[in-house]
Formats: sequence, structure tokens, C-alpha cells
Amino acid sequence: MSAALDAETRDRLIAALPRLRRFCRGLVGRADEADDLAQAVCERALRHIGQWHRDTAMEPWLFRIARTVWIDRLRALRVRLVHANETRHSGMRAETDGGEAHAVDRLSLAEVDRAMRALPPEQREVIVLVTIEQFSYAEAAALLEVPVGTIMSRLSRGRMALRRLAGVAAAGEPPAPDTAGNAGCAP
Amino acid sequence: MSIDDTTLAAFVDGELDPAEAPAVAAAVARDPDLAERVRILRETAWALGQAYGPIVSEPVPPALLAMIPPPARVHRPLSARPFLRMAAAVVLVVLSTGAGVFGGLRIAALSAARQARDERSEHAEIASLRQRALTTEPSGRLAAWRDAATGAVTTIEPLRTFKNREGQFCREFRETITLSGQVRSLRLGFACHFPDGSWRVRYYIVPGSDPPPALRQS
Repeated sequence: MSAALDAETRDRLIAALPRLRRFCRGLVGRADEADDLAQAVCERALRHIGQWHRDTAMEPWLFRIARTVWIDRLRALRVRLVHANETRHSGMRAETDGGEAHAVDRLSLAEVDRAMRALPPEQREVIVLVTIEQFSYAEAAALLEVPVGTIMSRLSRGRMALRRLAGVAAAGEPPAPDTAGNAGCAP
Repeated sequence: MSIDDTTLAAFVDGELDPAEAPAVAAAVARDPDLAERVRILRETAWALGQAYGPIVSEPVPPALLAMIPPPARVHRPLSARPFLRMAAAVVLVVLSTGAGVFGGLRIAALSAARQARDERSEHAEIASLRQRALTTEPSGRLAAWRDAATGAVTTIEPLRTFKNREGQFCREFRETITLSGQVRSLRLGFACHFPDGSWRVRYYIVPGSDPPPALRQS
């Protein structure tokens, strides 16, 4: 059991949880796995709460932990995948929505999740930070400890790869189904 | 003029050097291919925002909140006098903007000890509910949480939003705890929004034991 928190730290941690959940969701692209990751992050954050400085925002600190835990898990997963040698993914359109659609006239969350999962992790994390969590390029660069130029190129490549979400799949050139599909994640 | 996707993405995100932006805008206006790429970059960002945006308004799962330990016992160096001044200031604001809805409230400032006790016993679910209600609910709509263990229902209803002198957004809210249909606790809170996204309660005002009719009906 973690030590008790002072009231302000506790309130700020609680206030940060919704965004931590969203950040994790963007990284892993699945609701249950995202909450599982968020719990692991929370546990680690509570253990190291002394490393957080109260005059800084809570989210970037939590996001950094989330990313570390996520990358560890990806590595472990990759090792398992090599052994299992089983990585079949069906195309986005072949699948039906898993009951997560918000509205008919809008892309379903499940569909966006699938598209995000198809991106290499290093593009995904930049997109989650900048496009979803609204970090500036400079803030994202600081958090990920890479140059701003790297943020820019990963972001634009990632978003162009997500072009299907912009409704150009029929007209444009969709990414080749399998090579683009698992670029960073699978062996 | 050849402009790469990296520059276009920065253009769409408003991250381009202000000196560079007009030239890119002009090129995009001339060149349908550039315009198409800008559309893709813009619409993918929009689609991601639409899909993931609502996640922050979802209630935080109980399993996650259950991990947060209770707050430590703190001794607040909060003297009653400045507190009463703040409370009086809030009543003035309420009276001047609220058409006297809260007129006649008997103000009972919480003592430091009482406030510390409340914080200590507060359930993480309630703290989370308060954050969510203040972040997502419009004034006049309440968010509720029922404690399955006790049956107590906590509701939080934002009442009014305004900017304080420092330019922060602040909200007044009503927080009630009801057990078996009876209001066990009613207090008016005042919280301000910080750049890190959190709402921090500045203080509570506890109305007299019998709430005035204006409060009861709404």
C-alpha cells in the first residue's frame, strides 16, 4: 500500500486520471488494455510520487511513466509474437464495429482505434501527444526526448498514414494492407 | 513550389514560423495537390479528436480510483478570518449576479479542523466526480455517484461560471450527499481551473441546516 498523499497531490492526481486514460487509450488502441495500462501507471506513480514536483503539471509526468510501461510491454509482446508467429490482422473494412460506435455519421472509436494500432509505436505516441492531448511540438519533443524535427516528421507521416480516417480510402491510394499494417509492432 | 508534409502538418497545427505561414497558405490556395494533403492532415486530426475526445468525460473506472489512497492527515494553517473574508466576498458575488437566489443563506464557514476531516474521509470517487462535473457539465446540470457500500448518493451541480481577477475560470457548485432520500450534507463550493487542467476547490460554504426554499426547489 502506498503512503498517504497530501490533499492537493491527491486531488491533482485524481484530476489527471481522465487524461491519463485517454493517453493510454491512444497508445494501446483498446479500451480494456488501456485501463489496465492506466492502472499500472497509477501504481508506479504512487510508488514514486515524491519525484513529481508540485509546481509542474501532473499529466506530462504521468504520460512519461505510461510510455515507459507501454514500451516495456510492447517489447515483451514482441518476444511472445516471435514465438507464436501469429499476427493475422484483417483489414479495417472487413471487421464490424465492436459496439463502440458513437454515431452513425461519425467514424466509430473502434475504427479509429484499429487505424491507430496499425501505426508504428513511435508515430502513435507523437500523434497521441500532439493531436489528441494538444501538446505543442516543443512540449512533445521535451517529453519524448527527441528533437522537434523528429516530432514533425513522425507526426506528418503518421497522419498521412491515417488518411483513411479522412475519408479518402476510396479515391486515394490506401496503404498496402499488410506491410503498413504492422510496421512497428510486429516482427 | 514543393512543400513537404512535415511543413504542411506544422502549418495545419499552427506550429509554423509566422514568417513562413503566409507563403505556405498562398501555395496551398494555388495548388490542388497541396490543398488535398492539407485536407487529409486536418481531417485526420479532426477524426482523432472526435474519437478520443469524449474519453476524458467518461467516469474513471472504480478499479482505477480504488488505487488512490486517502489523503494524509494535514494540519492546515488556515485561520478563520481570511476565510470568512473570502466567504463574504463570494456572497457578494452571488448576490450581485444571482438575483438573490442565495439571499438569506446563513453562512457557516468550515473550521480548519472540520475541513481537514472532510478531506480525509472523502472518497476518491467523489473527488473524481467533482472534477468531471466541473469539467464537463454545463451550469444547472448535475453529475451523480452512488456509493454502493452505503447507498449514499453524491451529486455535484455546477451553478455558475465566471473569470476571476487573475483570468482563471472559476465555478460555483452545489454538492449534496443524500441517503435514503434525505439530504445529509449540502454545501456550496467554489473551485478554480488551473492550467494543468485540474479544478481546485478554494472553499466551501455550508448553508444553514434548513436550506432556503429557493435552494430546495431547484
